[in-house]
Amino acid sequence: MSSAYPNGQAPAPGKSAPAKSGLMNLRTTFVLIGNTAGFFLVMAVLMLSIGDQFPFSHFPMYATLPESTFCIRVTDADGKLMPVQFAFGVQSSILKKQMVRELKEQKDKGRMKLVSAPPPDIARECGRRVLEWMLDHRPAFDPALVGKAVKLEQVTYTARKGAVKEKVDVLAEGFVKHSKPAP
Amino acid sequence: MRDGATRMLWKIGSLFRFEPFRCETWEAVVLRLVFAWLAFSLIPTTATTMPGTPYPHGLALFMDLGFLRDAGTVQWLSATATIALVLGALGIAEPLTLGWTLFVVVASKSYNQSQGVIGHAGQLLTLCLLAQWMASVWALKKSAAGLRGLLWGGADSWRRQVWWITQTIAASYTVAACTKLISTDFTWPFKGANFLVQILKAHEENRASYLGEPGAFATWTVQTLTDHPALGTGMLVPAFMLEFFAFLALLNRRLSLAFGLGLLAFHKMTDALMAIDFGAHQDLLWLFFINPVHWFGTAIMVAIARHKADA
Repeated sequence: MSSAYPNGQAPAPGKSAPAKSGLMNLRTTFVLIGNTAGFFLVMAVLMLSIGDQFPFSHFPMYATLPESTFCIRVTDADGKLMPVQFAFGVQSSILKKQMVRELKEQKDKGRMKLVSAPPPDIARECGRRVLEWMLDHRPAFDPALVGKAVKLEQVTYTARKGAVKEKVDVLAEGFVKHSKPAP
Repeated sequence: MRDGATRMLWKIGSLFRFEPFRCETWEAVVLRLVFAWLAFSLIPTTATTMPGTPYPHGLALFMDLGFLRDAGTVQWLSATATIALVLGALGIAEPLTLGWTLFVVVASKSYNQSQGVIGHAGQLLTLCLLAQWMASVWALKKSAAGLRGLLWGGADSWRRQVWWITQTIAASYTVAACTKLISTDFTWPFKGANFLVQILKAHEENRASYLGEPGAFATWTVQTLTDHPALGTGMLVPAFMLEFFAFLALLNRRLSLAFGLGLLAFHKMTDALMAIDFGAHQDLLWLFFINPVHWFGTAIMVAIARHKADA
């Protein structure tokens, strides 16, 4: 893990040891790489073995690229899109991650087999919890929204035979509970 | 003819020649100061509004982080972590000062990540701060100065910090590529046909969050991939190669520059296509891989040396 040199600094060009040739040179190179880049190996092993535990991560973003994926959006009672970052201070990607976590919990409980293909009733149950979480923890910035109905929708994209299909499902409905001015 | 080919092969081989890491003191000083400026963004400024840690993560697995809900405590933590970061950047008692900053950052980020949702935006920057702190502690082992070594690591420690941070950045990209391979039974680079659904999802998320609309480049790419799905693999393979072979950037400064520019282009492309910028990653690539400080500094030193020789 330490540097190959006593002070962590390689010798200046021209002051290095005389060049060796053939196998010795190759061996010296490997030893030098091992000694000087050993921290790379330590960090790589830690990241892969610990996985996602802050500050470590194995960086799983877009690591599976499945045929099908989805996003979560919120609309008003008439189906008009509400930009969640501007309305509630939360990103759509956070709502999706909440949804995936809820689905994984149901899978761990043995209620379903695939997170990517949940039975509709379980998807709606999870969606209800995600909407509850948002309405409880993310007050609307606009006080006029309090008491208004909102819907949580899942938009699914599926790649099949060179074409992409889009499907929209309403997962849950609720009412805006409270408001707080935007920071 | 044979001589020409040999010379060409030798030139290509020399691009990949291992050159042990050298870093002048002035370079280490500048890089550490700029890095401290980047790390400053990690320090929490306000108390968390989330009531608890329902899905304990990171440090929250080992200790109660409820003190982060108290505004007064967070103000005190923020002030002391900032002072410690400045002292650490100046090279003063780094194992203690950087250690304190690291603790405050990891505690607050762990709390945020314990809400059931994991974000990766600030993760690499924090890992680099961890690497810097580990290098400063490692310097104690190497130092024969006893307590003085604890208070002042000196230039050797700073150079090691820069080198360990650089290795951490390279490791993160190679690990990201390994995760892709492991998660897909080594088929990730060839899943280009599925890349389109990820782009469409990202566009819809952007619209659902900010009413954002994709730019001209993103729209053109969606249309092109719709017409020719196989081109997706052509986009994924180079990106994957850059990530997987990021460790080659550790061989020498030229490869570091090349991989830095390549990975930066990869992030810019991801941003243009999917509105995912990973700004902290880009900053780290600029600082430690592309490293204009090194190239400008070296150019100035060479110019001065030539001027002196001419005189």
